[in-house]
Amino acid sequence: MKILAIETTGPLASATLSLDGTVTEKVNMTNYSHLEEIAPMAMELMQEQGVTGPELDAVAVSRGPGSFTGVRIGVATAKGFAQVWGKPIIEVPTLEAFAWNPELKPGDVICPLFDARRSQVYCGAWLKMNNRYTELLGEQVCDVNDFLKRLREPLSSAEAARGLLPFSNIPEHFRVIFCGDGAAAYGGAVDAWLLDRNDGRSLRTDWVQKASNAVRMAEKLLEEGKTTDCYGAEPEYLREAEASKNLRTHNLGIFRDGAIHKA
Amino acid sequence: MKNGKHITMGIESSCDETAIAVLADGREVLSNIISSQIEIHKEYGGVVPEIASRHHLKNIPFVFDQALEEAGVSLAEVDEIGVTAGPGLAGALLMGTAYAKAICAASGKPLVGVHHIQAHILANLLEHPELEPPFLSLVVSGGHTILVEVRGYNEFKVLGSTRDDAVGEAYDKVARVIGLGYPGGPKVDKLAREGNPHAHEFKRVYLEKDSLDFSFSGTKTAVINYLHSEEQRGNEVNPADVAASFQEAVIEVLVNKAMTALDITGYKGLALAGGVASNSALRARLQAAIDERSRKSVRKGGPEIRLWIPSPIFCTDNGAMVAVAAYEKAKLGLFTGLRLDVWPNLDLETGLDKLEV
Repeated sequence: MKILAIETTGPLASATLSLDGTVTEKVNMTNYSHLEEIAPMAMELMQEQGVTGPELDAVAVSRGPGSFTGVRIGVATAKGFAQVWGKPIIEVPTLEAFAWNPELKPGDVICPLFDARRSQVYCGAWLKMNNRYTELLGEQVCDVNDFLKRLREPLSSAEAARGLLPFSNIPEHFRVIFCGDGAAAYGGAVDAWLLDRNDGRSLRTDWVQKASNAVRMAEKLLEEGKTTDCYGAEPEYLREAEASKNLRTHNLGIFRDGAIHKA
Repeated sequence: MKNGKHITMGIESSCDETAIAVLADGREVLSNIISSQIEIHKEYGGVVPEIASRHHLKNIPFVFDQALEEAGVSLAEVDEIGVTAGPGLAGALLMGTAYAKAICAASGKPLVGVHHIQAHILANLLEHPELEPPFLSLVVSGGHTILVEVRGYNEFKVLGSTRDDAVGEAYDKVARVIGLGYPGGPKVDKLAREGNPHAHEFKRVYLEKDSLDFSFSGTKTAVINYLHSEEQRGNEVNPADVAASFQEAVIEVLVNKAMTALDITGYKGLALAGGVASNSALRARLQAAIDERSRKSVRKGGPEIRLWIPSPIFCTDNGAMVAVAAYEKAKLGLFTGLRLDVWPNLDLETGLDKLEV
């Protein structure tokens, strides 16, 4: 199986090739220069590994959530590649891809947090088990304090109906790992949570999105036949554009007497 | 190459149109697909950048296929791909540019970064093969109002530009206050045909003597003040008269400034460009002024004076204009690498080297 994966949703852009399970990666260490770097980086990586586009089985893209612009650069690039090479696209959910980080050990709970501004985060929680992982809280956007609180609370009825494992069922000695740029941006809140848990093992790390995690998840999605193409590939923003929301909620206001008034 | 002809693709996404075109030998339009988002942005009264970006991303692979299919050309036959890298809305520019880079990286096709205004100006070449630099151009659009000397296909000298609102911007604002909605230009133009252009004498701003700069905010404010004072007096207003009189004030300034520029530079023709160049009144008035000038010139034994205007489909944002610019840049060897970035405020005079990375 040969997959090229690209990741541009976070601070660092990266490109990864998986050739029958052997993973090589290029990471651009300059923050937020994704547009300039991602296409040349992907092509250099393929050249170094002696792989051409037509030899790939699929192009994988970290499809968000994350920076709207970053997510779109990745998806646009994947669309261009896949269209020219006639390959399927694998949309990898960016938060869940963290569960594929090879540094995780069974019993680790991974909580990636991406800064969504206005004290909100894109977030989720997954429990790593032997050779698999299970979802504790699915990808969502919410207030960072709400998320931290929900890690302790019983499941909502909808979540229980989905068969999610309640956080309270997880043994106290399991390690909880917060990562992503949101864990740094809201470090105070996260550290307070860690202090409260006080297990001497849980931690906050500087892991950010990486194409090498995405490509591992992409392998599984490809095996399961979960692919789309350049026409169907779509970002996952988790948030609608502010203007559409305002329009939908009739929050645009009306122009009267030379000024805009709240409707 | 296809049948011995050089094939160029142009990609444009700087605002709310996702557009891709294919040209043969840099002039012959084989396809010109424009996916407009006007209907989407109308609801908001203007272009919403985030929404525009989302739609560009969704549309672009379809527009690409359609452009090739309609042209009867395969990607393998394309010689180079041009893309607008600025100026424009950052997020919108990013979509065309990221996609074009991926297409070029994957196919090995050379990439050419194009300046949006350069493309608008060179759109004139599509239907006027005799037109060659140097020439004078008046660019009028939603974001730009400039008089520019086109010294070469990739060399421009700006003689004057707006100090406040661009023409199209003033149109949009006036359209909003008289309740016409977005996009303002075509709607004001249409309504103005039913009104008296001399019903109101709205302020014309010429700035210093012989200045080729523009200012439209005073004219726009005059319209708004008139409407407010009539509202306070409880008087009814005739929107068609307001539209016609506003348009008259704007066009008078544009035409007179263009004539001053011809006087100063001595050029024997003018190329009109940009979205507002499809305004029917502007086209007619400029043509009349140029015709008169030409008659005078010929009477004195001088040359004819020409006016070049692209068809309306090439005035609005489109891929063909990007392709013609890319074709000319490619002939000059001005390609870009895959590290091309976008430049939302790219300067026409001094910024063009940013597109050669």
